[in-house]
This record gives sequence, C-alpha cells and structure tokens, in this order.
Amino acid sequence: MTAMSVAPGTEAPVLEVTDLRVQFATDRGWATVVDGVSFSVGRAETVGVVGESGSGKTVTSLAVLGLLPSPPARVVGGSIRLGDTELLGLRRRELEEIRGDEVAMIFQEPMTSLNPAFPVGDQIAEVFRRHRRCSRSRARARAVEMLGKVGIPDAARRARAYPHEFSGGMRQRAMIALAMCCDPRVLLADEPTTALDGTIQAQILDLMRSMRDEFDTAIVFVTHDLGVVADICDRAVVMYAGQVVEKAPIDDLYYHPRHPYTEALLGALPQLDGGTEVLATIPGTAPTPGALPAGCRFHPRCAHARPECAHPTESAADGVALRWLSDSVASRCVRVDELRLRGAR
Amino acid sequence: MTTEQSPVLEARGLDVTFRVRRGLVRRVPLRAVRSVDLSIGAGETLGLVGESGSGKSTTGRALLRLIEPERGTIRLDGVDITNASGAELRAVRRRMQMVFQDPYSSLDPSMVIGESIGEPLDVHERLPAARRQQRIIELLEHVRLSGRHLDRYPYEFSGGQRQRIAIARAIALNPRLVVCDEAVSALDVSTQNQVINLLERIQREFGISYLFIAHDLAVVRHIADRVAVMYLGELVETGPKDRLFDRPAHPYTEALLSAVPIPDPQRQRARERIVLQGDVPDALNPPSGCTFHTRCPYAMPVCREVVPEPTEVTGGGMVRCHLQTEGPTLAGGPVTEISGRVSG
Repeated sequence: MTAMSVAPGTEAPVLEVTDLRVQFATDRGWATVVDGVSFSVGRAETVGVVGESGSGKTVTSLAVLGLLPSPPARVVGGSIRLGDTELLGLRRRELEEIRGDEVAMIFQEPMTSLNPAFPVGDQIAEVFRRHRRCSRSRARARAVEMLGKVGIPDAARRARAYPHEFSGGMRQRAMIALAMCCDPRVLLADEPTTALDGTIQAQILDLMRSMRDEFDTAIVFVTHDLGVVADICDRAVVMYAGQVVEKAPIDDLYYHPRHPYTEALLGALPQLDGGTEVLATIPGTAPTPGALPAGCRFHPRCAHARPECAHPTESAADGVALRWLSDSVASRCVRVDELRLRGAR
Repeated sequence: MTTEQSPVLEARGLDVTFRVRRGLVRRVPLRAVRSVDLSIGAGETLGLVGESGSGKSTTGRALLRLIEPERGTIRLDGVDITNASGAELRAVRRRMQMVFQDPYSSLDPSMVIGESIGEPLDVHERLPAARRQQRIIELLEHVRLSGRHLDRYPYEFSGGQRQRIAIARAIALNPRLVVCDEAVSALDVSTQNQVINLLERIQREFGISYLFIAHDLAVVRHIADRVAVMYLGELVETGPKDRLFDRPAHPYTEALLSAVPIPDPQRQRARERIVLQGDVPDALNPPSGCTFHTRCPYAMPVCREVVPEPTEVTGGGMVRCHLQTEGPTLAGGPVTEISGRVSG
C-alpha cells in the first residue's frame, strides 16, 4: 500500500459501482430491488450507505461481494469495478480469490464469519494461508499479530480459544481481525455495530477508524444509524426504495440536505440533548418493489410533493433521474432547485 | 426519589437470583438484580437504561411478578403484591402489562388480530358479544387502526402496525402500568416515532405509567420523566431526565452518554469522548467494591474495596459513587466537573 501522501478519496476510486440493478424472483415475476445504484469509494475513505429496512442497502453490499443467492436474486445490469478488475461476470473461483483478500466484509452478527467449531486463530491463519500461500507458522504468527492489533489482550493465548469463549465485543474484534488479515483494499461493513452495546460500539468504531488509517482501507459502511454515519463516514449515499436519492460529503448531507427524504430522516431523529416536544414522523410506509409509485418514489410521503412529482422526468423513462448538483453532491428530487431543506441544525 | 402522593409502583430492595448451571451438576447463583429501589408515579414514565446483561429486562419482569424475586417488596398502588397468588395475582396482572421488542411475543401469528386483542377481555372481563366487539374496535381506533382490520392476521401488517396492535392488547384492560421492553428498538426511525407518539398520547388520555426499558438514550431522553441507569444488576444512578442527561453524577452514565454518536458531524467531531476499556464483567463473578471500578476512568483505591452507598444528587435523584464523598468529593455535583482534570 502507498503511503498517506495523497489526501483520501482524491485519486482513482478503489471500488466503483455503476448503475447496479438487482432483481428478485417473486410470485408476480421479477421485482427490481436495487435500481441503478452508483457510488465509489477511494483509498482510506469511508462511504456510508444509509437507508431504512427494505431500501436495498444490504442487497447492494452483498452484490458487490458476489454473495447474493441465485435464485432468487439476479444481477441484471451495471458494473462493479475493483481497481481495473470488473467483478460482475467473474467465475465463482475468481471471485473467491478476491473475496477475503482484496475485498473483505464484516457483518452485524460475527458468527456469520466465524465458524463455531474451530479456534479463532486457526480461522484467521487459514484465510491468510489460502490467499498468501505461506507457511503454517507464518500464518499463525499473522493471526496472533492481527488479534493483537484489534485489541484482544493476550492474543497468543486467545488465538487458541473458540468463538463461544469470546464476549460479543471480542467476537466483533475477532471478525475484524479475520477481515483485515490480508490487508484488503475494500472493507464492506454491514451494520457491524448495530447489535452492540453503546460503550462497545464506541470501541469498535474507534478500532475501525484506526484500522482504516493504518491499512488505508476503503470502507463501505452500510447502516441505518445516522449517528454512526456522522461519526465515521466521509461521504454518504442515502437509499430509498432501491434507489440512491442523495449522495454527498457528510457535512453537506447533514447541514444542507438536497433530498426531502434525507431532510425527513434527519428531522425525525430524537435528540440526545432533548428539546423536542413531539417527534416528527414520515407518513405512510416505504413502497414494496412490486408496487412502486410513478415518478418520484418518495412523493406519496413527501412534505414538499407537487403534482409534477408523480410524473416521470424526460431523462428517466420510469421515474426521476439522479442529478449532480456539484462535483460531489447529487439528488433525485424534481424540485431540488426551488427547495430550501432543513438540516441537522 | 420523589414520592408525590403514593406511587403506582414501588420496589424496595429487589433481588433476583438465577441458578446457572456450571458443568454437569453444579449450579451457581447469578445475582441478576441487586437491591433495586425504584418507584413510578401516576402517569409518569421511568426510563430504565443499561447495557445487555445489566438486568433491566429482569427488573421489568420481576416487577410484574413474571419472575419471582428472591428478596424485596413490590407495592402496586400501596398494596404489597410481593407474595400475591391465585385470584389476587390475576387481579394484579390485569393492572400491569408488558410490550416487547418483538410483537410476536404477544400476538399469536395464527390468530386474527381481533381475537388477540379480545383474549385478555375474555380472561378478565367476560363481556357480552356485542360489547366485546365494540371494545375491540375502540382499542384498534386508539392505536389508529380500525374495525376493518379485525379479521386480518399479524403478517398482513407492517412492523410498526404490529407493535401498535400489541399496544392495543396491552391497554385492553386499562392497566395502571405498562412495561415497554425495547418496544421501539426494532423499528425504523419513521415508524419508531409513530409508536412513541402513540404511547405518549395513550399516557395522556388514560394516565398510564410506563417503565420504558431501552438502550437508545435519545429515545429515553424524549419519552421519560425520570431515568434509572443499571450496571451489573444495580441502579448506579437515578434522577429527573434533564439533570441526569445534562449533569450525570455517575462515571458510567457519563460514559454511556458520551458513547452515543450524535447525528451532527461537526459536533460529533468536536466532542470529547470517553471510550471505556474492556467489556462488562462476568455477572457470575462481579468485581469487589464498586462493580464499575474495573472500567471506571476515575477509579480510586477505595472503589476496589468498599461498596458505595447511595448519595443524594443536587437537582434530584441518587448516585452510588465514591467520588461523591471521597477524592474530588463532588458532594452531589456532576462527574463532568472532574472530567477535564482526569483526562487532561
């Protein structure tokens, strides 16, 4: 990896997802659950993928890893580039070479990654040996080194312990050690702190920050928690009903949101310092993939909706196109130029 | 703790001990709840916060007599219900209800929701058919659903709607107290707020008291009147919410608040954070003295040896912390007074 001489995110992206489309088989035919999603992540940069349940954020991250079960899922379009390599269309064997090596992942539930039947250190050593083809002793040493780096005390001894002998927070650390052992270029993190207690979440976010800075990893952080995004992300992509509705550097996103859905989410958050009489709500519920409204998908719930919002725009045959407002901010709102939306303060 | 009139619910010296299997035959005591004192007034919401394993759910269940406490007394409207049984216990149960994180804990997936809501009425009230039907529709309307939903199954509703149905069932018998155990934790922000607003409206209309168990401190700040903080089975601090959030007196409360990421990037970056080291200790083998001393950034030698006694806090509530009486001697003041000195 290169030294930290260039500012994060200013060179060519490490991971670039373009116009990704994923469908799921349903009783009523194919439903498009990820509809033209594009985003990129640079070296040492953290990009949040934010949305509520059903927004398509997890399906997007699984698609990047080639981990979507098929059937029922199929990727019907787009491109996922890791540096110069196109990941879509790679054979299973080729993807397995990349997964765990150049692209790694961590999940909400550490036992998704850890096998309960083997000592934690052995599992890290095995992944390292498979990708680096080194000696057993070298791989073992790497496992102990990584467990130490993620803050597991007495790592040489704890490497021989089984996952069930670790606490929840320690398991999360072990999963991070496993993910980072091959020094991946990209780390996909899907709600990695959601199941953790507050004080342990703070530890894990600190650990991810320090790992990112040490290894220059590009992180895609999938979460529903706008507090976590404000804490760890540089930029964020907001998803609604399978589409990106806004993307922006986080200060722009929080203080000058350019999509009414972002505004509504920020406005609905209960505040730790109090002062809210009645909590704001977003009326209605998010649409299901089989029953999407015409035009802007958020318009039936939007406080700023006008009749024109229900009609597709010329640039997008079946909805509203995502439009760049500057070189770093994009919005999918028809009325974006006339609206002054409220941010976090 | 303030006691205006007589509290709806009052617990004194509540202890809950589980026998945990260790190996094949050995069973060791796990003190899940230890000498908990709390009271909840009429129409009041007490927030109960703490991390997993702190004993907050066990406390909620023990108050409802769903788990038998080993020691202590529980009074409902001034009447000792600690040893109530039979008809007396059934009468107690109808006055205290519970709403869980997963609505399927109280809704039978194979039963249409009209029947789920009617079930407690059948057990306790035996209304004539027409009155019963009318009451069920009233309850659905209280939670912003309607009579046309009566014959639908739980799976036909969204997560937020299901939680509203569980609430309709919980309030069917006009309870005095509802224990909400992580009742909004699994919901997305937009639906979470609909459920919180509903709970608040029901409280205003019916004067119900809530014990609101949650790990989301921003939600607790919104909904609670007073807050109690639990650590390893003990209440380490209680107080009116504004005092407790703005001027925490216990280092654990301070750390919990500091760990919540604020959805405001510039403020979040500027905050001075306290990241506690290590995990919550094993409840089977709790640390000596103050149980928080192993993770406390301000621990003094006395903290390892002596269990801190409750001290009154300026602005309301109590705290169990040696810093109040020794060392910096906060004498009822907030722990934030010494934060700078210690971390600097």
